[in-house]
Amino acid sequence: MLAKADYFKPIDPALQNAEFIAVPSGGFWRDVWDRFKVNKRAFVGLVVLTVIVLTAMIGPFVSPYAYDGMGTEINAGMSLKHIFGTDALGRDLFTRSLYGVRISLMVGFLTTFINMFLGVIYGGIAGYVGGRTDMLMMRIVDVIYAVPSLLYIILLMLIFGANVGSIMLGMCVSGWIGTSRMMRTQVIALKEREFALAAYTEGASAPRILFRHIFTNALGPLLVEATMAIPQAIFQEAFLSFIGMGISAPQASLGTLAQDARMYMTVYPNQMFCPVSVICIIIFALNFISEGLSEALDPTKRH
Amino acid sequence: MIKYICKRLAMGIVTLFFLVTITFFLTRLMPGSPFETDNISPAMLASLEEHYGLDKPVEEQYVLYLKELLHGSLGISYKKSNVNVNDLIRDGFPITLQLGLISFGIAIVVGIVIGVWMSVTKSEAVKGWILTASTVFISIPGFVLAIALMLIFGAKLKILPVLFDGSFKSYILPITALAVYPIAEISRLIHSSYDEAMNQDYVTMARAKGIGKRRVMFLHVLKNALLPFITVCGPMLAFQITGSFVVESIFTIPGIGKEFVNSVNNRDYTVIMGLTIFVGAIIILANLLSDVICALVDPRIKLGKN
Repeated sequence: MLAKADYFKPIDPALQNAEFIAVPSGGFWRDVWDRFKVNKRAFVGLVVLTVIVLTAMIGPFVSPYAYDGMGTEINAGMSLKHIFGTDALGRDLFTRSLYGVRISLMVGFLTTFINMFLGVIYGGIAGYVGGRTDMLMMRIVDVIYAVPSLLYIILLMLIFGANVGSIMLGMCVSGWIGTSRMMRTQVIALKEREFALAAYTEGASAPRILFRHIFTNALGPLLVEATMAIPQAIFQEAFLSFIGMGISAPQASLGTLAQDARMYMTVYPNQMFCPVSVICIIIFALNFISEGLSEALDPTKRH
Repeated sequence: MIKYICKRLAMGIVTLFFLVTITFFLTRLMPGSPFETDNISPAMLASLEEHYGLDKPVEEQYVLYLKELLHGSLGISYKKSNVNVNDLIRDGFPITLQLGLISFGIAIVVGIVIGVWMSVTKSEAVKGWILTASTVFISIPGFVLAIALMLIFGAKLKILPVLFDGSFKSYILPITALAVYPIAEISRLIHSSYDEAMNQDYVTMARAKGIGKRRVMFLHVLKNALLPFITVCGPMLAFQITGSFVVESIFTIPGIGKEFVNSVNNRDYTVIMGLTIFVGAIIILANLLSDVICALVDPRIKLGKN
């Protein structure tokens, strides 16, 4: 499978052997990458996200300010010295935003990873074993899933306090269920296929068939699901911090920064505008990547 | 059909029971007593705990709580005297429901129109622009949008009130803030399911029979394209309620979302518990309804091909 732009490339005259004209076969993931990189929006998203991740990783070491270090310049505007300005306590907003990005990305990626992990195992077992076990396992999941995750987060926050840990834990209570349902459908469809049968006749154990053979074939749709789950998690953390139910001072996520800026937003709009734009850009990038990935994995699903 | 609905109903009841149970035991797991403050004597604390029945063993408290619930009482506030959760709901819920339903109604109509437009248009440019716009609006967190609307129309242009006072004009901004996300979501969903329904054999058949374009569009394609949309209505409503938390706190609307946020910030445990159960019950009910409606309109579900 080739990307659109490569359809009509002239062939090297040396290779013009009418008996054998083919493109080098690079395997499934190579094809996916080829399709992904010609999708402009998805590629830009990937580049932007990489830049943000690198800045958030390296930035705090390079920055001359500490995230909780107060200075004499309070409520400074945007300048070269303080790229995003400073807040009411004279803290550098750019440095604080960088830490905020770290928290956002950690929440997004870590919860999604945990949820994927749990979901794949649970859904894999339910789908592979089938029958009554499957029925029972899926009914349990239905019950847990029916309660909105916000309520789990709030309840856990009351016990463990308002911090990143309880937010992530709360998101993991029911977050894995979407993945487990998807994995289950994939397993049910794939376990009857020839390659699974071939592995079985060769004497492969059930876990091996499930995780080595079936899982690798189900990876595509699972990845798309993951890229959609990450922005959701980032959304939720920002939202909770914004209404004052999230991360507490002096640590700050992007949502907390927006919350702090809310009181003076007409006077110092930069304090609101900067962290908020950063969240939006991260989520844009992730959404574009997710769109591109789902199209690259399944070219029949063009928007 | 009836069997399916009964099954879903039983599931709903089990879920509700699960919700009540975890809410109860998780709030009991909380460290310390809800009355603990710096200047309270142990005797005072003990008498307060006795007054609210907190000195009894947990199992007994649980049974009592369930009994109260069955009588329709969601508990009393530990922080504000003489305030019970039922009153809070009675005062706050109508406005939340009103805003939620109006914005969701607008979102459904606008979303379907945009989704269908995206599918039937021949112009790639229009399609691209709508798609980009919907990605943009999906990527903007609700609170950002609400603040942006407030700053632009309320503070800068001064054409709409910043705070909610119950007048018609003050409804516009909160409803817009609540409707934008579902519009983007619904239009994408309708677009993809419309495209799928378009390629079905029965559409070709209807066309071949010479049925008018409009009739095919609405009766054959849209009707089928709406099915996946009905399934997600329930979860979407849950999202609307979460959205109302933010919008109510930004525009100072005295609804249930604001009450919820306040109770969490004051750590008013019984109110949190009561509201959690109430909100959870509504969402469970909404999911139940959307599943039943789906089963009613789609004969395939009845046959167990779920």
